[in-house]
Amino acid sequence: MTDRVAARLVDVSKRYGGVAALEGVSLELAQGVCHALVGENGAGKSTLVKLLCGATAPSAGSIEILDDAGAARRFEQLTPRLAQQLGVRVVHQEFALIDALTVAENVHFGSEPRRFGIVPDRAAMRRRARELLGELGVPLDVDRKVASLSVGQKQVVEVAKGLGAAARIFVLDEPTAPLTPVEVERLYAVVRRLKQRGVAVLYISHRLQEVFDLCEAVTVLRDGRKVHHGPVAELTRRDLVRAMAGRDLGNVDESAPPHLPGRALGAVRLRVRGLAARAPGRTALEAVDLEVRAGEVVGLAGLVGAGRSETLRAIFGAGERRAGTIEVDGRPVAPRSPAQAIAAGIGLVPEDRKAEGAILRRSVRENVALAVLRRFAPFGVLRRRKLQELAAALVRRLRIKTRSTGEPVGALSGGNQQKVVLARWLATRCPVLLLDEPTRGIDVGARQEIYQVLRELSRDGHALLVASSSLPELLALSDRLVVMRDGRVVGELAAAEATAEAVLQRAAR
Amino acid sequence: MSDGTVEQRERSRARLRDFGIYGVLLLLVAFFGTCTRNHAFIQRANLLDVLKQSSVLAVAAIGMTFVVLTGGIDLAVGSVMALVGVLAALAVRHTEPGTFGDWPWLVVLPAALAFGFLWGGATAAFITRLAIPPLVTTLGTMAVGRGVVQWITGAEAVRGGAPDGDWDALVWLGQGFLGPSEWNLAAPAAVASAVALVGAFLLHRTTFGTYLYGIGCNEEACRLSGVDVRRVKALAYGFAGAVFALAGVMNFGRMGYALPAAASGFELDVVTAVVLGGVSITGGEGHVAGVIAGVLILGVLENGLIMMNLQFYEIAVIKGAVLLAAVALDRSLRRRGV
Repeated sequence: MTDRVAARLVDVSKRYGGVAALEGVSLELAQGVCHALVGENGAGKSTLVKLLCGATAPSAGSIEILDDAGAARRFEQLTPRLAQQLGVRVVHQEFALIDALTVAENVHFGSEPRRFGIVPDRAAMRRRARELLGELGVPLDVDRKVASLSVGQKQVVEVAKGLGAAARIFVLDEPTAPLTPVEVERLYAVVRRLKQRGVAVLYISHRLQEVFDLCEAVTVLRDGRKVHHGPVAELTRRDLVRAMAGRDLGNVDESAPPHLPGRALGAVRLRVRGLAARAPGRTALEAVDLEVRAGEVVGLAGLVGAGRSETLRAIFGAGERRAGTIEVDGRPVAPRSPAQAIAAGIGLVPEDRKAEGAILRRSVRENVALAVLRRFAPFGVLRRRKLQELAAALVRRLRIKTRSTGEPVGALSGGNQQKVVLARWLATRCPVLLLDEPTRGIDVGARQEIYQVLRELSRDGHALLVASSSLPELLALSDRLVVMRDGRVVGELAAAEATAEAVLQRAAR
Repeated sequence: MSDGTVEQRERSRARLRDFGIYGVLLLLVAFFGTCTRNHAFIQRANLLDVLKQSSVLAVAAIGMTFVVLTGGIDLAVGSVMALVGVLAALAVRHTEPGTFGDWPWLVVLPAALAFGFLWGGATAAFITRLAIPPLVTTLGTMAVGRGVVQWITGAEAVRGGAPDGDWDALVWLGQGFLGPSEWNLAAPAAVASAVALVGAFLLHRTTFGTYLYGIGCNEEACRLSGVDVRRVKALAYGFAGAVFALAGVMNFGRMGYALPAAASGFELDVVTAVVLGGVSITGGEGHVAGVIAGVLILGVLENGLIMMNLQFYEIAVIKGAVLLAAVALDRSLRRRGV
């Protein structure tokens, strides 16, 4: 292991219009060291990565990177091509894979081995891809189309692609978000191997545990500024959270919500019997039984691909339901569309906020009123004052930080966008609320506020069914946990007996 | 409440961006006013002429706006206009006086609008039920419509029957005047204004309009919020179809006869006006006032350049260049966050 600095950002700033995304940040990446970059959403992490890989140019400051010969070269700005030549590799949060191509083609995309300089050497591509995947401990069929892979497998291909070209600086942007625990372990091993090879790793994550598991140094960003920098060994988790949030949130770990005190539960509000569903590219459900009582929070646990999202979507009429009955307050409902589910008193906060939840270019007002618009529009003509009152009340209740109810949702932070989606269902007053990853990718502060709202909803007698890949979140939030595996319910645990070990034992094969 | 003032400031900024296109329009008017001989361009009569000549395009463009807001397109606009024009002309020629009472146009005009609405609804069915992209679907309906109209006319013009007072209303739509004719207020311009008002009302004051923008921005989020996406799209294409039919009747009324080749290639003008007016071709953004500006820019260019004795091919080049320049300007303004 060497300690040579492989890349250095010197006093870099980046402004978009009048807004500073980064303000005078300096950072050193040493060879063979895993450097963690943490911060709440909007803290400037992604901007920093973009500067490093040449996707955007800094407004001020400079970037130094070692070249092939080992000499430090200084740049005012990089281009994607230049960054690549200098050995900068980024595994992006959103995959940059091409679905229609095979694993081998993706691994070599942009740097295909060629014969006679023009013909792609397919045999060499497949051999090399197999070697790389073997090195990662994931022997995938290199001739499979990427479209047919699971999210976890795609992640592996993405990493292999980075390994393929000689990397000297390896950036992993939230690499574990979609992974199962087994896959996370494998990724850890890869990162350790990279370190041994003297690669400088920049590791971005929301999961603080990973920082302690894997990284030697950490830099904390807040509002575009560097607020902490130092070796990981000298820090406690609490220090880190405080540095990220800029306030002491008490001894919270990364996701622990306040415990819901034991309440008297009411009658069964949601009853699902024998639910079966099948949709292309998604886990097939078989004979799923569930019950949620008034005032109860039931957590859906399981590894990636266990069928948590599919269950929620099938109940909501958004998946292909094949069989099974669904009752709300004892009334049988058989929603064949989300519209019918909503009419029956069910709401869904979907998994992917940007693609399925918020309408980013439209106003907060329209977004929160979307599911109840007709109630505010006799003969289809909007009663705008009533709508404004509704929106203002919800903005106040959920403490949504927005300059006005007319502001586009896309201008809000991730946490506030999620609150807007939640507000849409509060407006419907639906007795049954399904939540799919309700706090994914949002910062610690907003997370706590969403837990608070969920607590209020359950106190008011709503039935909540929450799917989450964060076990600590589920453990702390739920009265009861339902564990799924391969599209079936494989266990049920009361809050008192639920531990991470107990859940994982059932969730993993 | 501070909420109000912030919102007002936001709005005025948004207005500046949205109506910058009117600045372009004014510049063009000033340019032609200065450069035409004796300032002929800015004489009242000529300006009113520009309005009159732009009316059919304006009506069709407002219809198209609804479709483009959903992220779609309807290339059959010209075919529908020709088909409806021919059907109206045939109705005029073949109905005996008194068949539809004293005011036969009261039957024929609504029938034409209903035909357009159903045409649009059928188009939407192909798009939403069979998941065929709008561009492909309407390439098909465009060809079918044009073929049908050639077929039923034998590819010849359909002239109306004897000039009959009963049909004045249809002729009025195309070439009449509002008030005494010396005021020179063209009826087609009045019709276009009415359609614009109805369009703006639907877009900004109804659930339909809100859903339309929502679908254009994020269709899946709308579906998961209980919006009946298919129905909203059917209504959008239906409204557009009805408005295209109206434009077809106006076209017929303007000429007094119907050509099977009427409005050939018109879809390009219509889409140009809509895009020029700031409607995002991917959906979810744009409004009627901008589209009217887009229509007027095209009308002013056409009229002004003819006055300056340019040839039609030179005019085509300039129109295309203006489209590119306007869209480039719009993009750069947006990027700078004005």
